[in-house]
Amino acid sequence: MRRFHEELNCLHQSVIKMGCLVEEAVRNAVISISDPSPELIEKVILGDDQIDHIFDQVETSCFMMLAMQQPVARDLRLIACCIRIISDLERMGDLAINIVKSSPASNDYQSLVASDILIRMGNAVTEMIAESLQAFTKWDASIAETIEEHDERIDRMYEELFEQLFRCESGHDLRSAIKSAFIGRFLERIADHCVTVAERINFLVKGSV
Amino acid sequence: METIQFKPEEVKVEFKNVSFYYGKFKAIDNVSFQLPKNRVTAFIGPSGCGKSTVLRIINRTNEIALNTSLEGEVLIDGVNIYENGHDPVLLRKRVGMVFQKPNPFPKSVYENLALGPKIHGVKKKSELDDIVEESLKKAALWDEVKNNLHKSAIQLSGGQQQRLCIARALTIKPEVLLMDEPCSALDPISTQKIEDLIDALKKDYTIVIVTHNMQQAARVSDYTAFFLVEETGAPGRLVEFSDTPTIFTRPANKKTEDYITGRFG
Ligand SMILES: Nc1ncnc2c1ncn2[C@@H]1O[C@H](COP(=O)(O)OP(=O)(O)O)[C@@H](O)[C@H]1O
Ligand SMILES: [Mg+2]
Repeated sequence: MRRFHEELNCLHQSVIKMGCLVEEAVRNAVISISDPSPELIEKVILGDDQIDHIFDQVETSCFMMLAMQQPVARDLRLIACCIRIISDLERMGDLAINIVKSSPASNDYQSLVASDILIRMGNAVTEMIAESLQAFTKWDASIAETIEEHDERIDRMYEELFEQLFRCESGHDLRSAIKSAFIGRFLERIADHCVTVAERINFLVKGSV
Repeated sequence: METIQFKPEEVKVEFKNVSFYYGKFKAIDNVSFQLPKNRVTAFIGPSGCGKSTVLRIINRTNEIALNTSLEGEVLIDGVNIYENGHDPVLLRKRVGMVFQKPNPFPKSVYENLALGPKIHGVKKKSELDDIVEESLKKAALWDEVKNNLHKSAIQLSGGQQQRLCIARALTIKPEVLLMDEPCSALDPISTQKIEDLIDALKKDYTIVIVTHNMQQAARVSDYTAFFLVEETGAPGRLVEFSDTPTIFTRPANKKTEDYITGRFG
């Protein structure tokens, strides 16, 4: 039993680790919006392998524990929560890659339209990830509400972004405007994944949704 | 205390503030719960927390020990079974019990099963034959012993002996079936047979099973009661009584969670 509980601790730590890598990837992706450096982009893309690697490890050990230990109560909830959180985290990692691939350094234009809104959105999203991870680390169910509020703010910024894109002068680079729209969409998706993560933490702590 | 209140017509057995003493030693303290009809309730908790004591209170076999006393009320179908004039022999006909170690009489399979009904006044051979066959079928043992009814029960395997003891408990047509760790001496296949049996029997009986196997409690029971002695020398208490899915996914009490997840002591 003690070994099992040590394994559970490791599992929890691994998911936190994965979350930190995702947070870093998103943070770097947001930086690449305004400050595109090829090294940063490469870092995000290559870093995703490690995220995927932890995903595989965590998934395997979750299924092993389910099969070998017949976990119940908080142990069961932790394992169920990890299985679900890692797929959200994994998707967030992929979205970070999508962002850097749309950033100016990956393309042949100088800057993005409405990059100020994108950066504001990006910082808010990064903050959401950090807060979710904090809550997961501390088994804090109160996060669900906070994240919900953040998500509404993100949605408003997303609308604001489109307002601005629609008002674009005709002289603007259309490709750049479309990239901005995509990046906004990617950030908004990341925020949605944060919302599900927060709901899963709520389930972890309270045992109900 | 976390507990469940059933509708009056659903309740078979009820404990109301029951405390029990062996001499001066208080074994359980202020235990209250209801056992619903045609459901399986599992009793879990560390050794010495009073699970067997609670079982024996239900069929009044505790009184066999010297100097025991009981406070509170124990009701079956709403009637206090400890009231003056309540006949313990008749009560034991209504409440059957199966123990940890299979304990068949050193007699034939048939004799093991015919004895109870004979004591309770069944004389006709054909009637006894019927009871023997019916109870063996209910205990899922008939096919294995039907050609050897006069073989000694001692020659059966452990798992078969335990099913014979269940069949024996059924011959007196009880309403409540108490099982005190019925699988702890059995191999996995016999254990599975007993678990399937419990599942099949619950439509006719109200069943209580004491088990140290958490997975077994989770598999076979509808409700789970968790008992605990909080400090050495203290009496056992009921900590939580909930439906089994709740106990094993989100128990209300932290002590329950610590126990079932193996975080105890
Ligand atoms: N016949 C008895 N005489 C005296 N004390 C007993 C007797 N039976 C049980 N006890 C005591 O009562 C407490 C509860 O025992 P028991 O009901 O057998 O617990 P469990 O079945 O949960 O292991 C224990 O401390 C045990 O030593
Ligand atoms: Mg016992």
